[in-house]
Amino acid sequence: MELESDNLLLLISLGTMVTFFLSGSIIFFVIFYQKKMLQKKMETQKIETDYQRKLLQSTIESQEKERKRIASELHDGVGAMLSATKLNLGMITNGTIPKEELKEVVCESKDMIDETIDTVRRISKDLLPSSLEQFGLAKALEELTEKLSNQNTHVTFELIESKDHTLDVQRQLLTFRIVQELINNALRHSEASLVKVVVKVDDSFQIVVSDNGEGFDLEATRKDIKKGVGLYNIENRVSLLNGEVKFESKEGKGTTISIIFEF
Amino acid sequence: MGYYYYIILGVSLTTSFSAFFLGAKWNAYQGYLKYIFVLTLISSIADAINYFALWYYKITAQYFYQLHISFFYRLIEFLLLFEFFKWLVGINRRLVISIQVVAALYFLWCYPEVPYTGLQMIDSTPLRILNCLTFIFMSILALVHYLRKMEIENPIDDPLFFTISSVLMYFSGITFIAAFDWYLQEFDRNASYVSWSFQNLFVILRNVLFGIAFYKQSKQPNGIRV
Ligand SMILES: Nc1ncnc2c1ncn2[C@@H]1O[C@H](COP(=O)(O)OP(=O)(O)O)[C@@H](O)[C@H]1O
Ligand SMILES: [Mg+2]
Repeated sequence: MELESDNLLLLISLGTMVTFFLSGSIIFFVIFYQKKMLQKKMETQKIETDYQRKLLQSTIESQEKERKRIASELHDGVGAMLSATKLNLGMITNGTIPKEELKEVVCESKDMIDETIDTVRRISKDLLPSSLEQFGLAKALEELTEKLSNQNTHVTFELIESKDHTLDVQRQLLTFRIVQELINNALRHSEASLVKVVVKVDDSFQIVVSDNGEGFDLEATRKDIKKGVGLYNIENRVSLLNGEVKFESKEGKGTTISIIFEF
Repeated sequence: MGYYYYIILGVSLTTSFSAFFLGAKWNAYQGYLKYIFVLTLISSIADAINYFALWYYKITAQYFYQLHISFFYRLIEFLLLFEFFKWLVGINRRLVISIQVVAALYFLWCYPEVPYTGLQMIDSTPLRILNCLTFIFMSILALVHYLRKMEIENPIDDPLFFTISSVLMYFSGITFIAAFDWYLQEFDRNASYVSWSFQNLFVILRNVLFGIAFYKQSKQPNGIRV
């Protein structure tokens, strides 16, 4: 009798200890796991905010750059030209110009005014490509590629449209700016002889810009803060489009950048 | 029967009441902690009756069963905890259904026995084991559920986590006691006091954890989180 109850007590104690230990380990596992997940979450959050900050900075920087460019174009181009014209007009009214040169000076002034008009037109076109509003994205891109094409680098444009879709002006502009920057990058950095722009419209909107130039190391470029903000701007704009961007580049093998977003 | 039993039962009683008073901020709790709060109250009362009976009438462990105190306590405990877990994991329909199946089995189990054996036998060993297993299962489910909801930052600061852990530890602690207590009494009445004090140790642990949960809840800025 005595022995059996002792055995039974021992069994109870042991069993209790084991189950209690098991439940305790479950609880500690939960604490541990949750802490780890929390840590991970915080890390990714930090990465995200860093990235967001950089994107914001790039937006501000590029806006600032754009303003500076416009300011200098207005100042150096339009301003200088108008000053010169004003000077000419002043001389004409003062009568300091001999009669035989008068016609020449007037012609010169007219030329300068023409040039000013051209510059103003160019600036406004840069700000908002007029063909975009009038004829749509495809036409604007075609125009852009034609304009940027030169003897050293051939820029081609191809539109593959299997479904009829229209983009609102806001998104057309975003797309246009992306392609503009991509072509500019290829022209400036890649030494390519051919830059191809392909726009594919089916269930989604796809843009592929590829060059046969030197290519570059994307990761190294990202880390190098001295490099420009163009790539950030592209990512920024693509994220505004809710799309995805893929960079494929190998040094010496050219660069292909594909962007895809839904309508 | 040694004096240690008085001490353990006394501590158990004290912790029950402490947890109860820690939780006595009724208006701050909507939802789950109310169930736990009521549970601590019931537990305090049951403990008090036990203590009084032990001290005043020198009733032996066997007669506690005849007072039906533990049975009624367990019944109320089951209902409260069941509501608690239903509320807790009720978001997932499959979980609610599986819990309801368990509850239905629970009642199917005890109902046919009543006419033959009376109330005493409802409090049978298999039922007590089933009771323990049910709440072990439910609290593990609740923990899994808890893990899925990632918005909970630190478990240590969360009253809900303490409550679930408390239930899990308590029931896994008393499962073996519930399983063998009956046989132990058959052999040796005095030995059953040992298992009783074991059980009371887990009651103390449970009460302390409930108390912590109440305390943590009162520290939370706007009452209830969930
Ligand atoms: N198509 C390309 N081919 C080769 N290098 C490129 C190309 N596009 C970008 N890069 C590299 O990535 C860098 C970052 O480009 P970007 O962010 O547009 O800044 P930026 O054009 O102002 O230098 C460039 O300086 C260049 O080295
Ligand atoms: Mg660039």
